[in-house]
Amino acid sequence: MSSVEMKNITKMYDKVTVLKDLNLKIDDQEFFVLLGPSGSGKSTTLNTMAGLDTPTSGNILFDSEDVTYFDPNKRGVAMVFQDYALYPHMNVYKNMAFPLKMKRYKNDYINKKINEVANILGIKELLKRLPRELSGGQAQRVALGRALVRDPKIFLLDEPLSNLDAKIRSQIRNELKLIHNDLKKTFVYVTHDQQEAMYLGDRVGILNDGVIQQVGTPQEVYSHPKNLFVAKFLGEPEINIFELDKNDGGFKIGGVPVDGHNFDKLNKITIGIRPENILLEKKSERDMPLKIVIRAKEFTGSGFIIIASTDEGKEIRIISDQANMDVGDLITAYIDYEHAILFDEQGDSINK
Amino acid sequence: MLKAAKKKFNMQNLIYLVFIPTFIYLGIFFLYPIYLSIKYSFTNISLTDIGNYTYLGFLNYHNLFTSGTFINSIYTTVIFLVVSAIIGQMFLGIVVAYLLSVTQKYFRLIITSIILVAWATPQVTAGIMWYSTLSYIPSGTVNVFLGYFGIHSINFLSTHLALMSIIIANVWLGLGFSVLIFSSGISGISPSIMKASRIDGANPFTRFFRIVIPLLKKSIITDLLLITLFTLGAFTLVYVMTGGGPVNSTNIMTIYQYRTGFSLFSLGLANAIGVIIIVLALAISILYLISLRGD
Amino acid sequence: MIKIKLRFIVVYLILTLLALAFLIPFIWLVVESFSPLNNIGFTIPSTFTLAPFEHVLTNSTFIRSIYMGLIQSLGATFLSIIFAVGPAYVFSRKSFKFKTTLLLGVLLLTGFPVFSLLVPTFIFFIDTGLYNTVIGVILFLGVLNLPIDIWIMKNSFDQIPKSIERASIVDGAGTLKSLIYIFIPLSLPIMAVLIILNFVINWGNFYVPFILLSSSHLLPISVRIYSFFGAFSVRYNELAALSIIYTIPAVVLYIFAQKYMIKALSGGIKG
Repeated sequence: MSSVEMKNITKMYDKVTVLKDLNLKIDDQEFFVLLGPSGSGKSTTLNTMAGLDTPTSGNILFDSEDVTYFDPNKRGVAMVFQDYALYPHMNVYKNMAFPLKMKRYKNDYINKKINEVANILGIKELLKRLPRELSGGQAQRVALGRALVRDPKIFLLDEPLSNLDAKIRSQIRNELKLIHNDLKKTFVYVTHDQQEAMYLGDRVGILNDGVIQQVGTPQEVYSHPKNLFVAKFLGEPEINIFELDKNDGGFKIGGVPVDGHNFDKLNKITIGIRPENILLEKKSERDMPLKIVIRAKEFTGSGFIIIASTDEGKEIRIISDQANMDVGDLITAYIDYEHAILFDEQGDSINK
Repeated sequence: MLKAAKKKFNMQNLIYLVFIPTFIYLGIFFLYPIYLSIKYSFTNISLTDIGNYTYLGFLNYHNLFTSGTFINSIYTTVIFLVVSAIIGQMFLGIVVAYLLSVTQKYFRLIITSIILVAWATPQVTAGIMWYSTLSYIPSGTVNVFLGYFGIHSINFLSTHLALMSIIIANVWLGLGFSVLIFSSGISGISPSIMKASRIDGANPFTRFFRIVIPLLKKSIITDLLLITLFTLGAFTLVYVMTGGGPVNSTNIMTIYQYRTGFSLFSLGLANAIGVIIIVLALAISILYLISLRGD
Repeated sequence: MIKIKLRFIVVYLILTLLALAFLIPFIWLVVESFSPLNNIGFTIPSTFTLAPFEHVLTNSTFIRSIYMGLIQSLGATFLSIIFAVGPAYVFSRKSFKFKTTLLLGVLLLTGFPVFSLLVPTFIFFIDTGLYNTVIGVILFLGVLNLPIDIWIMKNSFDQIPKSIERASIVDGAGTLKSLIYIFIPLSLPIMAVLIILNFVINWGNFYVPFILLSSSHLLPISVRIYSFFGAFSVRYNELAALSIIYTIPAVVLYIFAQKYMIKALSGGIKG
């Protein structure tokens, strides 16, 4: 049983503020992903949870116990690092035994535990090897194993997959998900990879410049981003953005007015539309037409990414399963009003 | 909670105590002699009676800068520095490292090792070896070889040639260090840059001057600083080979300092020379720091 | 194609000639040390002999000078390393006020023209009774390498990934245990290399014992060789033999440390 709560956490290095009044509540047994670009403060957040960093102000609660000034070894957390951080002078067995030895467990227990975990992770044959004799995937499994043997209350994972190549990455990603399902423990996972975040997270917290932008399930943050940053950071290819100025008291694309109330006070709005929500055929009268020229077609296996430009010269991307057009064709596409996301001048999302 | 925070704070600060013994050691045996050097440079302290001395103000410095021997010593030191350190070790070092970088691995290893053996040879041995190798009567190795080609023996350690000889010996001794620095610098240049420049049609010479040298700027500055300081402080090799002679022709500042203190017994004057050497070295170091900051 | 090949041949030729030139000074040393003749010039003897080595190695003065050289070099090495470890660790792992200033100070001392300090140190040692003592030489030699040792050690410690230490702390090790189980074992190769380099530098140092010692029985091998060289009637073949005995350990250790150094600093640490 372990929930994590961060209350008004501020972290400053010298005069640089890395985390600004951060509040976060992670539920027990949740797989929580902290997502953000590099320098957003996500690793600092994780380090303060681990006790490797102390916040400048604010409190950290584990199950409503204040652990802000606890040493790492008193917190019952295990951590997995991006560069695996295996002890280079110890073989795999000794690496995994290290946290247990520090807790003065008996050798029998250590042995049993390591074998158990090694079985789960399929690294039994590697126990005698030194870290330098392991491939990246193996090393990351061992690092995971070193965290698992401890039966911690909370797992902290700092970009554990980003040094691996694509195939092993997706493999270990799947395993991680299964391990979480089996263990029923709290996982906090830091990454800059939005696809990884969507795949793994029960909930995702998006961090930028030391400020939490939005917390929600992957579906929530993808479909209902709270602001432009979240909208742009999630999704591949990136969301299409149209900035509109007020014209005749309203906003229009291709002559079709954008529906919405409370537009009176706004001089500008931004429409975000995901590539899969640009239609090649009109669905409703409220869909907004775009005259576009096809610039390129990319086959992705399951469909196509169409790169096109509007008559204003704006480049857009469309995901479609049909591609009965050629480069250079002039066609009309439609912004699916139902899925369009509107933002005000500050970049915050607004209701339609 | 406050108590826990305080405890953490104290524990972390405890580690800084390790500085204390080191600072004391450095203070007594490194910094204090620097202070003494400055202090004694204003006195007439003599080897014959070090307990009695009087303060002379800047007299020692005044005497030095009006003494032909000292001016000559500075001149000799500058020549020694420029020719053996900058031209000989640094420039030759870049060229050799660049040439080595295009050769086969094992060949490179052998050549580098030979050059490094010279660098690793203790200076007393090096001095004796070079003394013998350049010997005039009886003929040393070089003169014996010259004899094979029918060339008359040359007195390499004569007044006119001794400076050149110690320069060559010093290049021999120090080249390995520069080659090491530049080899690692060159291996740090990405191969794709070299490939690109080749495809762009640069010949080896343009490649060397337009690509390699600019990319090695940091290595060059580091090397320049270190070998200048090494050479400024060089003593043993020259002392063993020539003892500063003949007729002061190789009387670099360190040797001049040594002779002033221990042959002429004028420790006060010797300290003044030492202070001048220290100031020169500091000036060179600061120049280096400034040029690095410019990056 | 031919042009390129020719260019490469020229490169190999230049480098080979350079290497040969570098070996010239060693010719006399090696030939003379096995020669029955006694000559500062260069002559190839008709027979070779091991006698110079035998004479040197059975001469108690020379043996004693080797012993003195060892004591002084090792003692100074011990001092430099012991006093360098702590500050190097703190410089590498902690951030604190004046860190840059202190490091800059260490760097300046690293390039300090230490020879110029021998005159004041000589006076200082006479005043304090350290002159003409082995401990005096050890103390001074030791302090000379201290700044560069702090510097090299700090740089090597920097190479030990922070995440490894952090992992050990999260694994429950605490600062002291992390130091004992993780940091020190990982630093051992670096220490070994640094010990060797210090020893070689001290072993090769001539002017410190030359100026700070006067009693014949305290002189280390470096000074002994020099006074042998300057003596009235020199047996040059024995001088050459003694020089070889003096030089080989330095060269071998240096080359060994050099190779190991690169390994220790790059490959040895990353997991």
